[in-house]
This record gives sequence, C-alpha cells and structure tokens, in this order.
Amino acid sequence: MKTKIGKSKGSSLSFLTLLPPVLFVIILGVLPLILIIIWSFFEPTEYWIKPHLTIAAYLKFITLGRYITFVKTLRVSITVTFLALIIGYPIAYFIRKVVREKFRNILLFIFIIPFFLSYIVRVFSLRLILGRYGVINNVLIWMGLISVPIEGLLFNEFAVHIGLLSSYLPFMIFPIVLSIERVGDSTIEASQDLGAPFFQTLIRVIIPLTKPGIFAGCIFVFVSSLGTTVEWDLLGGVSEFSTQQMLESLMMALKFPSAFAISTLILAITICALLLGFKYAKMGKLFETLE
Amino acid sequence: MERNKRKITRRKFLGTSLKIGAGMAVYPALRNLMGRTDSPFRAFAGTEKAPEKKELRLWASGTQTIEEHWVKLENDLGIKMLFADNGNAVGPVISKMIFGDAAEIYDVNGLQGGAEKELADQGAILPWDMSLIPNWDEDVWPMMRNIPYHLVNGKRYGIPFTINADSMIYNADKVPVCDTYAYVFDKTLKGKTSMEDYWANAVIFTAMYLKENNIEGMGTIGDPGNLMVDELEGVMEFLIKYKKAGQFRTFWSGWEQGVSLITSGEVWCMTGWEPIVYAAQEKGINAKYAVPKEGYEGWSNDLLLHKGVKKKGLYETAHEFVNWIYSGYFGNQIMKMRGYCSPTDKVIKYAEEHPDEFDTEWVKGKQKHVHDKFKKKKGETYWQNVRPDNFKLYEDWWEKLRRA
Repeated sequence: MKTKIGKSKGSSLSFLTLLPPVLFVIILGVLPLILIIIWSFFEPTEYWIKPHLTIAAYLKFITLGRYITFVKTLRVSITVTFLALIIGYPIAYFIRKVVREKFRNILLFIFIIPFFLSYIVRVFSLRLILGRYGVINNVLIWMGLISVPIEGLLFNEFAVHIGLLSSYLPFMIFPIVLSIERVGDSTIEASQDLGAPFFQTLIRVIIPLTKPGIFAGCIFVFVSSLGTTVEWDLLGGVSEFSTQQMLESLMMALKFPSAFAISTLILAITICALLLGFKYAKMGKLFETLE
Repeated sequence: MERNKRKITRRKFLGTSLKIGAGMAVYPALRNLMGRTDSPFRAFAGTEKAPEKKELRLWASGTQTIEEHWVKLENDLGIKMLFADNGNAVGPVISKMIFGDAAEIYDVNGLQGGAEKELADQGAILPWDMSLIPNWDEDVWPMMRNIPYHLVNGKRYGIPFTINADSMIYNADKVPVCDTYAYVFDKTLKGKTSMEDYWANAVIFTAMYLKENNIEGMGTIGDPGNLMVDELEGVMEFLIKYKKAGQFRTFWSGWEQGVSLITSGEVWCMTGWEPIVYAAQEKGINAKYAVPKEGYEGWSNDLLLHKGVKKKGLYETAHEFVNWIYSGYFGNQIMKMRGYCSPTDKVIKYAEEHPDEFDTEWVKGKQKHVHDKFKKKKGETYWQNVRPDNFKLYEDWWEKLRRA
C-alpha cells in the first residue's frame, strides 16, 4: 500500500516535470505542422487565407509545373545522400577501426572545424575553388592540362552537389562512427577466424550491424539537403532552383496555401523516411546505451 | 524528518507555482476587462511612469537606420526613435500592415517605392500633410516631387527617404565601352553577364532596353516599371530565351555576391548598385558604372504614415520627424554611413554649416553625382515599382523564368 502511494506520488511528480517540455514540443513543434497541413487546404485571400476547403493549391502544384522543381530537389537530395554514404562510410570505418585512439579525436575534430565558420561563408568559399579563375582551374592551367578555364565547375547542378556534400558529409560520418563503435572487435575477429575475408565480413557482419547509423546518417543528409537554399543560391546559378527557394518566393508573393501544400508534401516524405528508418533499420538502437 | 520536510517544501513550491501561474494568466485578462491596454506586467516592475519623451516607431529596411545617431533626433526634438527592421520584404510587410496590426504598432514605414496605392486603398496608411513639413521646400530636388506612385488620388502618401538611380557595373578591362543595356544581352558576352535575382530589378532593366531600342516590337511599352499583361509577357519571354541560351552566368542577390561576381572575374557586366563599383575598385578591379543611353532605373525608399498614429496622438510627431529628416543632418549621416542619398540641397547646406561634423567637399561631390543622374543627360529615369498593377503576374513569370 505504502509503495503504491509512493509510486502514485512519484508518477504525478514525473508527469508534472515532463509536462512543460511536452507542452513546449506540442505547442511549438507539432501544432504548427498540423496547422500547415490544414491551411494547405484553405482558400487564398488577397493577403492571407480563409477556411474554405479546397485542393486548389495541390492542383496548382501540378498544373503550374511546380512539381518539376520539387522532383529535381528530391533527386538531388537522394543523389547527395547516396554519395555521402559512399564517401562517408569508409571514412567513418577508418576513423573508428583503423586510426589509433589518440588520432581519432583529431580526425573527428577536423570534420567539426568547418561548423565553427559561418555557414554562408563556408559555401561561398567553394566559389573560390570552383570558379572560372578558382583554385582548380588555376592548378589545371598551371599543370598544362587545360589552356582555358573550365566553365562547368560552378553555377550548375554539379556545383550544388559539391556544396551539399561538403556541407552535410559530417552528418553522415558521425552517426556511422557511433554505430561502428557498437561492433566489437571480437565480432569482426570471429568472422575472420571463421575464414571470411574482409569484404565478406563487411557485407555480412559490419554493415548489417551498423544499419541504424547508416539510416540515421542518410536521414540527416537527405532532410538537410532538402531544406537548404544556400548551396542552390550561391553555387547553382540561373538554372538551378530548389523547392526551398520556390517556397521562399511563394511566401514573398503571399501565396500561402501553395507554400503550405509543398511544405505538407515535404513533411510527408520526411515522416515516411523516418518511419522506414525506425521500422527496417532499427534506427532507435543508435540511441541505446552501449553495454 | 528531513525527507518529510523536503516533501512539504516541494508541495508548497508546486502549489505556489500554480498560484503564480494562474495569477499571471488571469491578470492580463482582468486588466483588459478594465480597459487597460498597456503592458500587463509593467506594474510588477514598479510604479508606472508616464513617458517623458515622445516615442516614434520607425519600421524600415535595416539599411535606413543611422543607429546611435538617432540621438540627434532626440536632442533636437525630444523624439525617441525606436527603430525596427522590416526586412525590406515588400509582400510580407504589406500583409502585416493590412491583415496584421503593424499599421497600429509602428508609426512610420520606410519601404521600397510602389506600395503606396495598395496600402492607401486598404486604409493602412494616411496621406502626409505637407503643410506640416516646411522642409519640403525648394531645396527638395524637383524630380522627387513627380515620382509616379507617391501620389494617390492627388494626395501625397510617399515621401522619399533615400533615393538613387542604378544601371550597370562593368569590368572596363574586359568590356572597354558599356553605354547600353545591350551588353547584358550581347552574345559575345555569353555566360559573363548577370542580373539581380529579383523581378522588380531585372524586369524593368530588360523592359527599358527593349522599349528604348524598339526590340521585338517592344517600343510601345508604356512604363517599364509598371508593365501591362502583354508587355510583361513579351519581356519575360525575351528573358527566358536568353536565360535558356546561357547568356547569364548567374542571378545575384545581396551585397557580397554582387561584389564577388565582379572581383572574381565570373561576370564582366551586370545590372546592379553603384557602391559595388567602389568596392571592386578597392580590390584592384577596373570596374566602372555605366551611363546607359536607355537611362537609369530610379528607386526611392519611401516614408509612409501609418494609420495608428492618430489614435496614439503621434500624427504631428510623425510629421516633425519627416521634417527633421529633410533638415540635412540625416542626409549627411546616412550618406556617410551607407552611401545613400537624401534628395534635398539642405544636405549640402548642413555640411557647409558643420564642416567639423562632415566632409563638405565629399558630401557635395556625392550629392551632385546622384543629382546629375536624374538630369535627363542621355535617357529617361524609369522608377522601380515593387508593387506594379500586375505584380502577381510578375511573381508567376519570375517563378517560371527560374524554372526554365
């Protein structure tokens, strides 16, 4: 009986302690998203919206060709995520399993350093590398490999990919490093003792055990690539136009339902990706404590 | 015992917190019922005091503030300036003025020219009483009185805050002569030209070029700053054609991007702001500002009087403020700080009277330079309009251009 009372008091205190952060998340996090979904079905007025249900904003998404920009941004984000995985996984493995412990933190720190710089400055500096008279062109000319600068390094989709990769590669590396940390050296040794070459161990042991980290990295890179404008703005040039730039332009033009409809689609894709991650890649395991 | 004490204290603490929370939630509502509209928690800070000085809330582009130098306004007229940045985002500003409560919260606006008619029609702004602004006299540059969108139904709703006229920046080592907007569309400069990533700039420059040179039958364009539906279609189709052909290296936005494109050699000729030329020259680039035969794109950031001033008893104060803006000090300070121009000769007079405060010759030179742009030397000055009659179509076309 005494225990029950104790439990009851303890749980009400826990409830009261949890209430403010839960309310905070609901009011400032969940509620705006629900409103965005509802408002996407409202009718636009001259300066705002009115509660008259319609799917006009979604129809305009198709008829006015906005889906082209949307699909292109999705495609670029998926490509960048894939490239980040291909490049990031070996780096993460190298940091966690090959490098000696005292150098490990230095390497991780190297990937953190760019985050101390302004985000815009970091992306902007890529212009100095990829530009007509940038580092790459100058080196190639100096080496005698080309006589006139290559124009196609900057202000196109290629440059956007480079910008996104350089910005978000660490987001892929860190969760994978965390998940590789969970694969004990003894597990790898056991696989090799049983005669599996390294590649087989990698495919059949290490990668399956690091799925949560891989998926978390993919989600971070994909969602960040989907939601950014800076790389597109500074490196994309005239032909590259992202969904976020389109959203900004729609908000400036006070076309709120259209902006909300596109945001709802982005939200739906992000939620689907997260659900897939939790269901099939057991992403939640990444947050469990190490034994 | 210790344990029990703690429990009691925790319970007391939670109870007291709930009471305080409830009190804070109910208190403003009770004050509202009693008709009090000032800050509900002001009383907690101590005894309420009536403001000794008049406070004026200016909601303008962040580049229009003279920051700590507003203290001069306070010393001269006893008006304390409370400046807030409106982000210079015309659409959201208009929305907040008409749909939201910005027209009540703030007293005066500083917004890119063109929104006057819409805001006046919706009752969000009031006409200025020019008899209360004696400094709006013969010293004000005559052409500033005739900016098309300042007057609505014969009443003055817009007064220029700062003004200038824009054309093209070019690298004279690469493009020796640049006296027409044709260079922006010149096929020999393919991939080496640029325009600003904003329809209000890019469209008017293109329209001016097409109109003045009667290209593709577009000589019939009326006002390049306020295109009709078919005129807009012609101009945008022209831009899309050149964009698809790879004429533009990029569309630029923001000061840093503008300077970087010219100094890095990515762009040899682009429409843009004159200060970019000076920044590029400082970096050793032989940059020059064009005097195009088609004329300049004039722009004015306008002072607008919010409807809320009457209710707050600040109608006269707002006029006193604008009169002070035109007294010369502000023009000197904003030019010194940001390179913007206030269109009155009182700026030079003030500099002459206060040589210890401002470099008189420098101010004279700058004022004359801007003034001369508006003297019909070569071409017309067409005024940039951020809210043309068909602005929604402009937005649609710009989106289409970006996707093309």
